[in-house]
Amino acid sequence: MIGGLFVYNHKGEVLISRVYRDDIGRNAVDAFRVNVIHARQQVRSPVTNIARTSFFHIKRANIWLAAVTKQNVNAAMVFEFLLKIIDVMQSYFGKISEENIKNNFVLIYELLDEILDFGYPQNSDTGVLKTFITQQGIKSASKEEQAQITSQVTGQIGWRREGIKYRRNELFLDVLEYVNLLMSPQGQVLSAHVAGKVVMKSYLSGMPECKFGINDKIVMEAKGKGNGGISGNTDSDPARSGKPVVVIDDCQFHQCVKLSKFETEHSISFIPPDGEFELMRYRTTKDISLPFRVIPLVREVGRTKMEVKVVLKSNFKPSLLGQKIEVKIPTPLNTSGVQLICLKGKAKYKASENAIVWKIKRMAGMKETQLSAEIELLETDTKKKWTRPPISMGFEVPFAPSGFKVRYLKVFEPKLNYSDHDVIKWVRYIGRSGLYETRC
Amino acid sequence: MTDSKYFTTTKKGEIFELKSELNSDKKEKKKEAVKKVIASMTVGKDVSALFPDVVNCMQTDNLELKKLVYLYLMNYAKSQPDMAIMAVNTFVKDCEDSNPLIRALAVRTMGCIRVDKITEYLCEPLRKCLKDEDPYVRKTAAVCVAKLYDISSSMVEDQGFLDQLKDLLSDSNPMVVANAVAALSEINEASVSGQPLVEMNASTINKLLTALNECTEWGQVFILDALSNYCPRDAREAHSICERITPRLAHANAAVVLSAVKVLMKLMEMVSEDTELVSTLSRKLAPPLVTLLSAEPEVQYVALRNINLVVQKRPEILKHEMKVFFVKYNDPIYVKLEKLDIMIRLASQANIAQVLGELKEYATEVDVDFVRKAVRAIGRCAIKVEPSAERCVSTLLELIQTKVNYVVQEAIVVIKDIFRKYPNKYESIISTLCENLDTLDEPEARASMVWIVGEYAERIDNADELLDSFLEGFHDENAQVQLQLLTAVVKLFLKRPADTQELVQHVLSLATQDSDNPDLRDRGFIYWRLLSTDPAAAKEVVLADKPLISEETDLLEPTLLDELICHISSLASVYHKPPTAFVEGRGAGVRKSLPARGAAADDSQPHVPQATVIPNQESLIGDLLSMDIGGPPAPTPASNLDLLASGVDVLLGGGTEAAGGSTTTGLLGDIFGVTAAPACYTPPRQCWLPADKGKGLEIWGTFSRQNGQPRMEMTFTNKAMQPMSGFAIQLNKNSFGVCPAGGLVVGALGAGGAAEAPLSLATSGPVQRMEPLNNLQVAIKNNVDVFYFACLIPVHILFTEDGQLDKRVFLSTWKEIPAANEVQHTLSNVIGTADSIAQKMTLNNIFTIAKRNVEGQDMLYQSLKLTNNIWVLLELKLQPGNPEATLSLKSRTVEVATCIFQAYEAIIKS
Amino acid sequence: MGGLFSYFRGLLGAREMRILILGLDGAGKTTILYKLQVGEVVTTIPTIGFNVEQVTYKNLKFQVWDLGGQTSIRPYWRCYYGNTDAIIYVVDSADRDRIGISKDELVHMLREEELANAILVVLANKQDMAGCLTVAEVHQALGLDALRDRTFQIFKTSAVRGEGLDQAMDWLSNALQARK
Repeated sequence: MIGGLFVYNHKGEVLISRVYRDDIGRNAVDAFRVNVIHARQQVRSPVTNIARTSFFHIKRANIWLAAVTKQNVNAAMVFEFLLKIIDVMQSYFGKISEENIKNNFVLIYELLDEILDFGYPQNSDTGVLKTFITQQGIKSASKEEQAQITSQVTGQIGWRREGIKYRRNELFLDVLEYVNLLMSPQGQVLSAHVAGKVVMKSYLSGMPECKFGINDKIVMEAKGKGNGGISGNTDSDPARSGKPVVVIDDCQFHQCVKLSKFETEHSISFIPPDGEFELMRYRTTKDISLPFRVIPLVREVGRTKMEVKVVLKSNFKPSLLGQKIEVKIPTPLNTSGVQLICLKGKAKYKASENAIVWKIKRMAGMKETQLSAEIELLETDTKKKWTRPPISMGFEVPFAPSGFKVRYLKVFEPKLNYSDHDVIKWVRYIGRSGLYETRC
Repeated sequence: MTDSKYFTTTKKGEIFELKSELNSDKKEKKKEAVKKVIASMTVGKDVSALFPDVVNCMQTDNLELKKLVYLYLMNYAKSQPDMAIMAVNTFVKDCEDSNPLIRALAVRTMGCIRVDKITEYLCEPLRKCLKDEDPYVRKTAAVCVAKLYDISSSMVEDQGFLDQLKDLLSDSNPMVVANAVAALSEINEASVSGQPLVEMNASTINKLLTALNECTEWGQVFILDALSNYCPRDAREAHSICERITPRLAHANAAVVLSAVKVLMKLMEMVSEDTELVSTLSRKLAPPLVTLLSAEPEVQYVALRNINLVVQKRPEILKHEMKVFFVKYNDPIYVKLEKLDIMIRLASQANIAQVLGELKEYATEVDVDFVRKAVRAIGRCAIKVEPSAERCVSTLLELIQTKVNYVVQEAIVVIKDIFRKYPNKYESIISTLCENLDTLDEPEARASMVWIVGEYAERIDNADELLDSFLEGFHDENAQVQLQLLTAVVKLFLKRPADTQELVQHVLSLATQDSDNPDLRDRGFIYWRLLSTDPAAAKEVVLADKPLISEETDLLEPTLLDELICHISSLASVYHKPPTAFVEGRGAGVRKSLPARGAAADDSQPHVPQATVIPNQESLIGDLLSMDIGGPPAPTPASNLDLLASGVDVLLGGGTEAAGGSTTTGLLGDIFGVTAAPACYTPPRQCWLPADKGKGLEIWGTFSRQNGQPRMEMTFTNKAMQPMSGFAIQLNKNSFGVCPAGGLVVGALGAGGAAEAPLSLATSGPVQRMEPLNNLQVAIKNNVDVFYFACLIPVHILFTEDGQLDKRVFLSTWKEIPAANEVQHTLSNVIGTADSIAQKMTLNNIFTIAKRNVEGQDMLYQSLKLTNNIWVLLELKLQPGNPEATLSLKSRTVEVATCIFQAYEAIIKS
Repeated sequence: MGGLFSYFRGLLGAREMRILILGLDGAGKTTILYKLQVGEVVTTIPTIGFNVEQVTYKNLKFQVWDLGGQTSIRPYWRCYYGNTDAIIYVVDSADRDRIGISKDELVHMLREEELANAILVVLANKQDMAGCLTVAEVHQALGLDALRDRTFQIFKTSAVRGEGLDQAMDWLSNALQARK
């Protein structure tokens, strides 16, 4: 198992060092600094073996987080755990930075002691941790409260405590989709998939059992017409008309979801944590409606000039608005100047990014606009030709490009006297760009 | 107020100041002081001098202070082992605190203090905590047992902690179960004897499966990893475990998913006769594996390394998923390289157009390693997917036109392989290649180019000039280029002797007189001899037909692959190395292997021939060279005359050897040709059950192997006065999982009667290690009684028909298995020639990979595979006329050596 | 340090007094500590290390350190001497065999510079046991006659019965306050 955990700043100075196993010596801290952080050649793998000691590292914003071991550990678990630590730290003190880590090192040690024992990850659910690890040390707790904490840390429903009460029972569902696309210059889709997630914010009393229904093809075909719609603003989903089902390639659930029930009955039932959490993640590859299309035209005019024309088409219902649109057109390293004309939005050449950045605040569906650029190049004798990185784009649209739809979310709390009808429910669909690239 | 200020105190006299602050009456001041101490500790300053002062802060009702002091103790107790005893009383008290959080904290910390004097005081509190009413304390105590085992294994064993830990497997709290299983797994792996201390049985497994649904994500990983070490009794149990584990594939945590994949991949071996289940599982495995590619890059990397294994083991799972492995522009380089690897493995005729389009795109990227790999991948595609070869070659030519130096060099290296795979097809491009001669500065590219020039010397008009130009700087060349030049010039001379005599003289003298590289000199001398005594023979040797190049690249050797499948998700799967290669001592655990395939597996599944392996580029050049010269080590000649004679010998031998997996030509081929009438050696029958012990039933028996199936051949004789009937047989669990494949077909046996009782055997039964390994306990029942006897299975009946290793895999495996796993044995009274012995061996599924004659001794290199997938590699050294032969054996599971030696003895004397 | 000391002295009453309970193993130190703190006799196990508790006696606050008496622990007593106001030295009056060792440890301890100003209370404990030494005998055996320049007093006690402790503490509180 994990033998030790180190946190370094970008210079390689140790900010946190916690050793869990006897086989990891102090020199391990230095070994990582010398061989990875200060390595002459940039290390090309997140796993490094130095003198029979393995180092797993992730780097976030100048901070290196490394786990060390001499054993044949579960590598996926180590990385998942490192990512979890980042999560936990973020929820305690925000951004991961040298400043914040130094300011909270006592808390971090306390957390590390709690969530990793002898190198074995323990309950690392932030919500639960916060009930008993605070910067002020333990909250003075009565005997009953103590027992409640421990039963929660180890419990079967480790993510929710008993006795939660709200005057107004309310829940919010955000369907958030990231559209990933790789398109050839000729407009052929090389690969496309939607990585979606359903984020739920629940403010419900007691221990509510929830049942969640979506327009999953398997369920819909099995059940025929579904019953029970959902209250809230579901009316604004025009892009999906005529495509009532979604084919989900794969999905994953928060630990509160009863997986065995999903496997057998294909139903999603759970007792939600209090507050915000990610209920499910899914992936689809079929019938994705791509909200935007980028059509590039690049012409090299001699050795010192290039002409670029980019057409941008929006491909969704005219009544909807796309937002935060940004097209990034890479330029050669030897660019000396750029002249730009765009019909909509603002475009700028950013030398530091070697790219033209074209921003459009809003754009309705079924519209088309374009940008043309003349790029002047310095004459160079380098043989290395410019590799033409793909044009990438960012956007946000108010629908789910996969066609994913929430059919219902039912809440049952047998012990308290509120019913499904009393719960106020909100659903929102957001489609965002993931890696949305067009080769040119 | 923030904590960062603690990092800034670096004044002189700091320790003194801290000391007085630690002894302050004010709690706040004390706490501040301890924080400063911890900060100093973090940045590596030695604050051990403060030990007594910090320890004195231990008894406090302030939990935060207590935790800080505990943290300090864990770090420094070892440097102050005597003084550490002052902490014991506080730990003992805290273990009885009314607050469960404090009880757990104490037992957790105490286990981390590795001081002998303290350890003895740990036992009592630990025993209590293991039975604590609070699950939080119990789950912490469970891990503490593993800590204690690490400090003193004997204490854990003697004090009964193992039993307590085992009890926790049935705890009502899932997290306690998870931690207990983690601790037990670790203890089992570290067990001094190499044998697990606590065996899992079906009922514990059932409890674990129940806890699996309820515990934290990490707990699920612990449980799944433990399950992967469990071998179900039969296919039915395997089936039910599969069903209960499959839902885990939808978990959000990649480690849970991969660990579930590990268990399923392992169980799929066991249920392999149930093709429907296997294909259902295969279908279910694909989507979660693909989803892992949307995880964070670090997790993706682990996933990709594992997918690489899965694709090698079960290519059908991901064969339709090529697209998801397309490289994204912003992927980190380590993800890109791994994706590329998998793309090559998945390339097939169906998707080759897309793959090539991508690879071409990648070849224009910036990262040199990535570009090289992409270029190489194009060459691989040409070799793997024949219809695409033409497109690949033209793509490579386009890339050569870019004149990007490393692209050109890489392209030339792969084109050489394409030439070998498709001789006389693409030589038209040679002139284009020659244009780039000057730009090649890497030895591998130069050597490849020289090989091409030599191989096609007759078609390249100025081949002599080209080679001559290389000769100018002969001594500055890398050794592989020098060797290649020598051979190329000799080829040229044999093809165009008229105008190249001078050139060949020149190169031979360069190689033999001016070089201090022995390989080069020796090869030079051999060519010289050959050319001067028998040019015809020289031609036959140097210009011999090349064996075909095979398709797959960088395949893992099958045993290693199977072992790594058992380690999916672990570091071993990331490194693609067995744990022994990077873990010291007993922590590496016992070698794991896949369970034996289900009994009917071989019949129901079309036998997929093991793809032959081509080595990586580096060794390939070496192999090309040895193609012309024979396998090293070349014998050192005693005299000139001998030099030639043995040289030719080696050359011929070498040619055959190099033919690799398809040993259907040459000497050995003849032998294989005779295998039509197979007769596996069947030992003479022995009396297994004498009549006086069998209440009149006498059993004589032996074992045999017929048509790929092991059998028990028995004769039942009824020496009693009354008839016997109702015969049945049962075999006890044994090392190889041997069990009856059918029932016993013996009818009633009248008094004095005798009957043959043949019994087909399968090897899918429950496994339990026996002593000796091949011991088999048998129970026979009839209407009179039940009788027990034991016999020894001659292990050669468990050698499988697919035990032939590819020559290169054999070589690399032989090298890879550590010397500690080599056992030698002397066989006496050996009669017969090497060939006749090899023939006999083949009949018994011991396959001869290669034969060599070195200094009058015949060396046979042989491989065999046991039904439980253990591979054994052997070298048999025979001296004509000498009845003693030396047998060296290497295997990752060396325990089988004794049985194998017995089998050899028996077969040779048969 | 002198200035600092007198500053604290001035605030006496607010400051906790630091008291060490010392003596050989099995003398009854831990029992005495908890008898003082909670007023009850608790079951104890040998103290491997130390106990520290706050004891309030007649409005005076004491921080009382009870250190283990095992041979292996005695060398570390010295780590606790600094700033000590008083020592309660506990003797098992029934342990005739080791009274000599007890004396040696006491003499050795009193030689320490850091304890020069500490007040000494000797408790001849386990007076309830048959055949134990009398107070006078303990006084004699420890060689207390030879003590110079030290505020000290000896008491006969039985911690399990709760006898003699109040007297000793009364005397100690007075002696400490007298030093103000």
